[in-house]
Amino acid sequence: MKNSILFVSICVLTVVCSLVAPWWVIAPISFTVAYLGKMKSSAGFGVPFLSVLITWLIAIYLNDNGVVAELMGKLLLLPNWSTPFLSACLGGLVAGCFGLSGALFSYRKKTWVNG
Amino acid sequence: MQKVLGIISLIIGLGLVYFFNNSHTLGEKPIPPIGKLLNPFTGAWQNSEKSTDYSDFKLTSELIKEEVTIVFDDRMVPHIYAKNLQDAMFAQGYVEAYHRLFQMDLSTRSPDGKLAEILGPNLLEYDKKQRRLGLGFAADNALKGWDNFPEELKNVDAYTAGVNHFIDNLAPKDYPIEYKLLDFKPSSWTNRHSALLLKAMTQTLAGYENDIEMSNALRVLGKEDFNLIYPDRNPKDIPIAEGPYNYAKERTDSFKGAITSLNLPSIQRPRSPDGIGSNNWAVSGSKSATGLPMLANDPHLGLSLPSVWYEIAITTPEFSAQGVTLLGMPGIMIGFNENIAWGETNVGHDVSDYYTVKWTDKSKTSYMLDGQQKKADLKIEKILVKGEKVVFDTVRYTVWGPVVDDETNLALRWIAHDAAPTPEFMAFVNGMQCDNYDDYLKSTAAFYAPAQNFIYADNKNEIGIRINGSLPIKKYMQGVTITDGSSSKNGWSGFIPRDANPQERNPERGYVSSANQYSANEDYPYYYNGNFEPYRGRIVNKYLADKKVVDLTYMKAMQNSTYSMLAEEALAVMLPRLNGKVAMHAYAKELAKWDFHYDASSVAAVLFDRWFSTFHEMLWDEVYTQNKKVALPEPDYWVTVNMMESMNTSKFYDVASTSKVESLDDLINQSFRIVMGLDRLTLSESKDAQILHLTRLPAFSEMELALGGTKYSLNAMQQKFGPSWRMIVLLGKTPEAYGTYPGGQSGNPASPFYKNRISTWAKGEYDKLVLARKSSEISTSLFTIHINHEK
Repeated sequence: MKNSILFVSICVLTVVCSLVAPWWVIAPISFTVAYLGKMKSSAGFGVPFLSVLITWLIAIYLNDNGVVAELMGKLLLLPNWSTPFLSACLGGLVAGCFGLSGALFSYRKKTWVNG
Repeated sequence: MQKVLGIISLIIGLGLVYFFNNSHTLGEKPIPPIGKLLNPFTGAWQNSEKSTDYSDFKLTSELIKEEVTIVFDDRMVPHIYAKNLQDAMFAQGYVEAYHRLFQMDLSTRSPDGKLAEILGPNLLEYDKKQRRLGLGFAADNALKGWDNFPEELKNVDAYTAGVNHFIDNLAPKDYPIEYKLLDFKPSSWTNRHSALLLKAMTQTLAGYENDIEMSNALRVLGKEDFNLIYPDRNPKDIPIAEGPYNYAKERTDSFKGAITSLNLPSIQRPRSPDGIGSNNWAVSGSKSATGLPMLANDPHLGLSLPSVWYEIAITTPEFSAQGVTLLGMPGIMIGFNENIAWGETNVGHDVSDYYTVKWTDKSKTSYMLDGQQKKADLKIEKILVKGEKVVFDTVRYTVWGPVVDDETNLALRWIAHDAAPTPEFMAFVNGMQCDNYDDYLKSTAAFYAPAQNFIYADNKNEIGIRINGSLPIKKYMQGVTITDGSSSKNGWSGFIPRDANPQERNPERGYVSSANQYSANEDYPYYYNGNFEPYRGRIVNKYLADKKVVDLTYMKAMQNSTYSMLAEEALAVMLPRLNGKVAMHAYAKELAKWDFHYDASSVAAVLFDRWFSTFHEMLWDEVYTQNKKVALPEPDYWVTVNMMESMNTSKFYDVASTSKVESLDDLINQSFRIVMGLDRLTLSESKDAQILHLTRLPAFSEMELALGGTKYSLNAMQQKFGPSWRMIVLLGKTPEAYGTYPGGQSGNPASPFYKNRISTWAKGEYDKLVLARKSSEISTSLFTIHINHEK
């Protein structure tokens, strides 16, 4: 349950903050949510990773009808279908590292989630 | 332990952010900042453009006086409706930036020598060369000239304001995709950018230069052979203006200031104009199916994506005009309005001469002129290089112009550096508003460089053509070779008066035309030399003279003609001279039944090209073998054709490297045997035509186009050069116009309008261009922009 809340928190914060901040805002978001949410270190990488990956994938599909995917595919010499995943993984990877770090720092700390 | 792992994880995360947020180079390959590029909120994904994305919007500016409406038709062509000219120019600036901002940025960075700043150290040499050529200096000079015309300048100011209105309101997520890829920001537009664009065009069209090679040739070959290999003009040519000319022929003394004693290497200058050329013609009512004039124009330039041209329509209460414009310059360059049509081809006179500079000492700060020491103006150029330290270079300006390279120490006297007495843009801003030829001549007289053959036709049955541009007055052979820069007497002696520039108005034959050939015949009172096209002009004249009544279909067929007069003339001599088994070879039979048309599927065209170029190099082996030791100009193909037609014997037919003394027949048969050993290829396989994006990234380009045409046919499609805009206008009560270009209106590679027009163009078809006097006359529109005055 706690992980689901943290997962959703990262998704929402990613969307809201990315409208005004640079793309790497996912880094402080993931770190802070994991730290304050006292995320278990076992979930520290996976939850922010999936959270940003899915958010980014949805955002990409809402924007693009396949034309940019094709351009990026030609540019990066990759299959067209893979470029949205590659993009989303890139965000996920950054989020995962910062999430894990936040989780590890929050070890033994009390959190606001379960008092 | 946890903390240590946490720190490690944090460091990895920070490393990833740093790596993804910056550009890198892996070996030679540039890696874009992939985090910036690939994130969905500000990255490339935001540039996706769907046909359902278009909707009307409003904007306000305090610089707009009255309301402006811009309607984009179903081809994404903006139709600007303004109450006054300056508001229209604001709107033109806005829409050009809206569709082509990156192109405008790049094409003005190139002359300014500012490409390394965004593209990295590979472009440093290019930047240095551009600065040595003084293109930025030339733009500064142009601006000084423009300042004398404050009223006219307001149009450029309005255009600039329009461009900046777009840039200032552009969010980073909406930057064109190339900015995200190359990781830089658009900077403000200034009037200087428009001047730079003009200088870039001058470089492309009037940057032809072979003084060093010609000097070497004169020294190495001697005068007699030089005159034979590099003759002054082609006796078969039909000039643009056949006379009689204004002004009597003056006595033209031979030039005494030529220098041929130096053995200098070629100077490689950016933006080689090789392959540049254009056609235009107009037929009068007496020769036209409609009873009123028709006009055609197709400029041939380096093809690129986005296209060099942008289609636009401008309407004010005074006029309504449509056509194409070069991005970054107000007005319509090639187009038509309700009453007239106009267009240009390049002139090709030599307006770029090298002068020797004799420095007084090693510091190269003073040089000798007329026996006296003169100080050079030193200009320090600061060149920014992406990812590297700033580079400084010193450009030395002499009385002739900048010294273009350290090895040869030659200074460049070039028309591009002169401040024009009237602003060039007036030719287009005023020209598009004219309704009669006298006004049009007055408007286009403002044009100085690069000199163009301005063609004109109107619905009152006038046709005309005139060179508009500064043509220097030269003595015989002046500027063909390097010039002695130690005497100021060796400079150009002023410019040909504008009314003496070659021109034709309503000639009896019922047509006027140009295709980069000689401007005038030998009766013309002034000497000129330059780079002139030997065949297309003759083909246009032949086609127009042959046909009694010219109609639209004929005009289209002419623009798309792949007929080569070179091939016809050359094969008439070469084929009958094949003997024995060689004459029976399948390739010889293929050539014998060929109609001299360079169709995409033609095998004979490739056979001919290979045979002729092999023969040409064997014939001029004296030049091509020397070329390894000393830089010499390549002889022209027409010289080869004329020679084999008229000379049965010549010392040049002998190949120096063999013990045998070859004859013309030997050369023809030997060169054919070489071709016999080569594979069978069609023209499109051999040519591999392509239209590259400005960054040359294949992902944004159109590769492997199957296209016919040759440099010497009216459809002058080569691998990367070709007809960049084809327009035909039938004048009448209302004009009937057709146009096509290889690209699309949008510069966004992710737009459906990025290269949607290529297929129509490639098939030789046209879009109908409908001049809509009112916005309600536009049958289908994509969206509308309303610009209002902000109080």
